[in-house]
Amino acid sequence: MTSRNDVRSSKRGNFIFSAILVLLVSGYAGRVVFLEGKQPALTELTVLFVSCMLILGALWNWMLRRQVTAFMNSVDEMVDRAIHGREKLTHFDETSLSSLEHKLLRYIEINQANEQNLETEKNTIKELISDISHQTKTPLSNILLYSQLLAETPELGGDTRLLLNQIESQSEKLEWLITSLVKLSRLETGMITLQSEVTPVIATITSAVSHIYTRAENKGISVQIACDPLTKARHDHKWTSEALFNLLENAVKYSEAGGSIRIAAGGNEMFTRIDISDTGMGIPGNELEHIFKRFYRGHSAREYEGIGIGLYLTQKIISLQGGFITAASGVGTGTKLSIFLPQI
Amino acid sequence: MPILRIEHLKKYYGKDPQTTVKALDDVSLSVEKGEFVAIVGTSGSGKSTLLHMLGGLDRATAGKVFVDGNDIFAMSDEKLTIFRRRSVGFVFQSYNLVPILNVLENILLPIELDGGSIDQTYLDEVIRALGLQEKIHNLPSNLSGGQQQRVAIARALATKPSIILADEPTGNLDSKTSQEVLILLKQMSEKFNQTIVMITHNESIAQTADRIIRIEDGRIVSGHAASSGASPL
Repeated sequence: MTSRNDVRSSKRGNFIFSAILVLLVSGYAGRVVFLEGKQPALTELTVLFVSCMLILGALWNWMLRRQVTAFMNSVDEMVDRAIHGREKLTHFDETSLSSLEHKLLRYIEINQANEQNLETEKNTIKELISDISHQTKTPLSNILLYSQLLAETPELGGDTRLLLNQIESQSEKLEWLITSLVKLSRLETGMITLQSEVTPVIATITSAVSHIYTRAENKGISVQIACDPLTKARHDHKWTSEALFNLLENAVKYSEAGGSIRIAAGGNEMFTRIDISDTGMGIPGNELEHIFKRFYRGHSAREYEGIGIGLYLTQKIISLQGGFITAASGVGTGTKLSIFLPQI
Repeated sequence: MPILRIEHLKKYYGKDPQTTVKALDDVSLSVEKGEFVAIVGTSGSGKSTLLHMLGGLDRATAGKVFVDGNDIFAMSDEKLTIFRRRSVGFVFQSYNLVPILNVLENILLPIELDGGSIDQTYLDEVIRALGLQEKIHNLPSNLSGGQQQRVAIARALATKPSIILADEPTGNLDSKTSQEVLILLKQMSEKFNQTIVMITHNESIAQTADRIIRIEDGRIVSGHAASSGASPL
């Protein structure tokens, strides 16, 4: 606040000083004329003196301005050097510029130290995640194995079998949850970098479809692909295929037997668009904006298997590649999810 | 701290109480930094008036607007002009590019008007993100509508404003191109942590935004607060 006021008062100061100068000069000239009457020699001398004074004043002002501009320029240069980590402009000079430069460097150092601390913390979290994923794997597969062994015992009652099935399905769910969460956090913390290349999308689509084809066939759902083999997009084949697989899996899960899934791809100016439309139960309008959130499950989706992480993961994969995903749906009319992948 | 705060904003037209038109009637709102907000309403609902107030293009009858902590109605007209140039980026329905300047000159125009220095790294990043690197020497008349709007977005981003105001940015575009422009707006908001307020009458366009604010007859009917997180399992 004070510096802002300083700027304003320096403007006012300039005005006052100019006014005093003009007043003094004209007063002096007037006084001389008044005292001595009109004498050509004296008038000449006065005019010469006054104009010399004015010129000197103007020169002085000009020099000051130049100094200020030069100072500002060196400050600008100094900040630039500091930002880009180049050599210092001033060394240990006895100038205010030098002390300012040291302060600035101190500030940048503090910021860098903070950044480093954050980086260390991030690394700790990364390690923790890989530890969790590693250490939970063995007990989990043991649980699965023991419950399967137990299920093979011939003399089990109906109730026990039912409970055993529950244990098995819950363990499988847990396994999937942990794998997805680990995948997610690896994507989020940048542990996995996507290898994006401009390649035709048809290969990616077919590889995703191949994983759900049997499931769709068992349910009597037809899958159609309309895609020009030349349609290209910048994407990571493996991860995009996983993203598409998540969407297709949902389409199969929420469609009635005898329904159909349509996959269409095409390009526009900047993005290649892949649409996946199903004839499933649809999503009500008020839920549409939430479906990409972590652990969100639609009201009518609650009775189906799932934990609400597939769409979130899909969205992460797509946006990490500079793409985008949108959804359009109506209850009873099916859902259309569109993936946009950059072309260049 | 919110980057944009509106307190009890009112805009009335006409003095006679019988015929007064209440374009905005006691609107309060706050927008956080980096948010992409869509204001939806039918024509005549007051959404354009609201946007004009936010950008300091018009003065309110009562109420206050704070952008980045500055009370914009307390500024003189001269200051407001400088404020707009430095802190607000506009994206219009009709692009408003200067026809005799090429794409790069159009993008740099607001920076040059302000006499500021150009952050080349940032500029290159913006141009690349909007897919304009091959078009920078073209004149606007040689570009498609979608491309022109992308230039307008780049121009709005160039000065790193506190807030970008977009007035029906896809109003002149076909649905395919509209979708692209919206996706880009959304991506820019995320990538550069840029606050964007967009007005539209089209609900499906608004879906792209982080938050939808519905306005009817000069009043906000929904979307005051940031949308709640995921529902419990």
